[in-house]
Amino acid sequence: MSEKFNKEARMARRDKIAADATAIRTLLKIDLKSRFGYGARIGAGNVGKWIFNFVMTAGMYAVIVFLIYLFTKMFVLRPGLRDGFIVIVSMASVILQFFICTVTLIKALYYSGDNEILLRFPVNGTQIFIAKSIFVFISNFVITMAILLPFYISYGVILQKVGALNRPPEIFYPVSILTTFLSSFLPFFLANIVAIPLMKVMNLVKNNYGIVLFVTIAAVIGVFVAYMQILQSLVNFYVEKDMALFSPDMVARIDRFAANAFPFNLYANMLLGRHPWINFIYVMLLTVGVGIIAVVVIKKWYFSTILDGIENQRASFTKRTSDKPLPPFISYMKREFNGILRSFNYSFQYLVMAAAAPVMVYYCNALAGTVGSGSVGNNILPGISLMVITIFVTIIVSFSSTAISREGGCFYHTKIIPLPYWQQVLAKFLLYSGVATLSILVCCIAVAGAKFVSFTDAVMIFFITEFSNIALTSLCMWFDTTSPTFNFMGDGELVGANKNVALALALGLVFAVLYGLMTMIGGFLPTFAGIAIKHGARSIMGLLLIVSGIFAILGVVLLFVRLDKRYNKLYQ
Amino acid sequence: MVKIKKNKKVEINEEINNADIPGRNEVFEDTVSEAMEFLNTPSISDNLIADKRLADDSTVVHDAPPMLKIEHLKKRYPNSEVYSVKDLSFELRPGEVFGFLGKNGAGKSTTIKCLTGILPFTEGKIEICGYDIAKEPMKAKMNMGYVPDNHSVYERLTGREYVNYVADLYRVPKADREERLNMFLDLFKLRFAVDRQIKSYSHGMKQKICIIAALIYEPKLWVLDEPMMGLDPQSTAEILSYMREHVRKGNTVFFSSHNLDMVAKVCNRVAIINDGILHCVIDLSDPANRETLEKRFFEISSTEEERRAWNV
Repeated sequence: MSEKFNKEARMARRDKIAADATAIRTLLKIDLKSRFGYGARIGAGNVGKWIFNFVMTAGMYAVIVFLIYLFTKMFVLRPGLRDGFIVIVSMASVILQFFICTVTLIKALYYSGDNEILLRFPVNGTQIFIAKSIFVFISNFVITMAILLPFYISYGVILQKVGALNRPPEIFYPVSILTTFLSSFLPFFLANIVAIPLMKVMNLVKNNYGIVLFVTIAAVIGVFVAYMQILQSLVNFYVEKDMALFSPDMVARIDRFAANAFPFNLYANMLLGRHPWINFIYVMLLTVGVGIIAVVVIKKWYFSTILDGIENQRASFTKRTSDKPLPPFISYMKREFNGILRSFNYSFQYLVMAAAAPVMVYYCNALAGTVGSGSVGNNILPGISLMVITIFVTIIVSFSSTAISREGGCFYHTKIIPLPYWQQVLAKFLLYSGVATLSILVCCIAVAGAKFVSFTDAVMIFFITEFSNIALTSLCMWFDTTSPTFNFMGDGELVGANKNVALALALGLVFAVLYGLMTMIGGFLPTFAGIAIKHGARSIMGLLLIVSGIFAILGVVLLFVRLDKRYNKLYQ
Repeated sequence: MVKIKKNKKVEINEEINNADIPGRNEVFEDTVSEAMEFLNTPSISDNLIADKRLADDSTVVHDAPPMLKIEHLKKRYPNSEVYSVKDLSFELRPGEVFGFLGKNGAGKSTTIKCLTGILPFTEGKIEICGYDIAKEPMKAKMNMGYVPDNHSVYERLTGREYVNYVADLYRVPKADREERLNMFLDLFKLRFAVDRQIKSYSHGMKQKICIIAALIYEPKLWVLDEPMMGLDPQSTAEILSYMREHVRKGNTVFFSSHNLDMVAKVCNRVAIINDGILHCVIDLSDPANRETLEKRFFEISSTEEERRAWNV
């Protein structure tokens, strides 16, 4: 009797495990299909597209690998960084993976709108959690293999060429793969631990739009400044060739740091063959230990955090506002602004870039100035400033190319209200170009204040970029009043860039490069196309002032002429 | 001061009243006593259940200029060979509730989208309160309120912000908007959520805030596209109640629906559309027409074979 009972229990357990495995496999397939197109059939209809995508991806990856090889060669051969290089690369990889994993986990596990849909199917919360966790791990693993492994392989190839590889190649390369594989677990488990308190904090502050915006701006500026500082150091190193950054003393300091950089040195020691088995055991113990903590944290707080999020969403932003009447035009503008401010995606695209642009322009100018003025003199600085500011203006105003698309399911509303279409479009135009104008003004003050350009040049740059701002905003909005892309899923938010954004960005970048190059060339050439350039860059900027002014007028005309006819044709 | 006509009963939903909503007691204190006055009169929902006619034919002004005049309306979508609406003409009088019936894809929503200005139309003429929607769209839109079928609304705004935004667009003075908003918040029992972001609202609450926004400027013509879809009986009763209230002030209500019984009870007249063709406009003040409405609807919108198969 008891044996029969045990057998039945065993069978039931086996059936449950099989059912769990099937459910997890199916859920994982859904995620992989949506992220990587896994399982998509290649037929006669899409074979051309598939080949094109494959060639483009392979080509881009080949370029990245080549750059990684050059980068590795630059540090490993010239200053003679060896162990330190591997430790720093492993450290950078683990830290980067940690950030990527945290963001992917939060998106997949906590912010994913499909949790609610999936729970309607015969799957339970644990199965969804496991499937999504595996998906995040696979995503992370693919990224790690694609980025970290080329560094390890390049290191091996370079040192093998000069006969300095301290392990046999037939061991070094397989161990590279093993080390890369093992190094993707630690950041994954750490991200699982960190994601929960981070989500709790996000649930607490998500309706404080001002705070979220401020923190985002500060974070973007902080990361950008840090990145530019590193890039500036590398450029100095490359341009001046004085080895100041990687002097023997500096190399010794990096090596000392690498020797103590726990736990990153464990991976390097494993790879480089310094007590490989002991370091392997340390890595395994550390990974398993952090893994156990992650499982405990998840078991205890995962579901309560998700529930918090759902409840928090229900009890969302509350504010008692005044009933004071506003003119229709102003009220429309206010509604549009609140809609942007209260969406993380939109405020990031619209406000964060505009607020961060002056800092970015300052650093880009400093960096480009270091490279450019060293070879062709300071005369190119107005051209560089003009190009960099125009690039940032392009990025900021590209947001306006979803002006109509962002209405989503509420597009009907713009058709029924007694506010003429031209006024609705003008309200949006002023809102988008106005923010860009303020950003341009601060950018010009920054480049003039830092003496990158003279006051007169800064004024000219302001007007050229302002005219470009008007022209680009008009053009972007014209794209969207011609063929908007409405999203009816979820809350209707346009998270990804649509074709209009890509087109606007491409056009803006072409203009930025053209304007910038012309001004730079004018800065140091005595003649251009056979015409004598009397006042250097300033005469070219004078010409660009007229050209950009004409583009601004044409842009506004393009946007507003026959607007009613175009708008009337639009429907969802 | 809340203004609710005394011949209407405001249903007090026991469930909502008993629910523990913070701050709700204070909010309702002023209005409960007034609402209680109407509890002794038959309610809309009672009448709906008791199969009584709710429409008041005395409110219809027959000799006044039409609130909505559609003449030979034709609509063909781009890249389509067929007309979705074919030569449709009718007029709506002040003081009437007009129902618009048709099966899915019959052309109801297309007609409504044309008359609200959402869709351009191929041929014909639409006048709202004497203003041509194509030639004088602003004046026409100033006189019309529209409630869509999909409850799409700016969800990042709070309910109050959305209603005030619409009131701004229609230039409603502060005193009027405050008075009307207070009345509607009590009528639709939405006061507890009005300062919350709309994205936290339920389906029914979104529909209610759309209705409040459409009524905050007291439009002469109130157009609703399948307004009762997905609403609970209480909310349906509230909306029907206010439809009657709205026409009593000399305005007009035009709404599409699939609910034949409700249309028969609430509407003064009803139009049946099928395959884009307006088949008939039926006067429901005649009891015989009310009784045969369902039969006529099925005769128009289905084949004899289908009717036999469905046993209708």
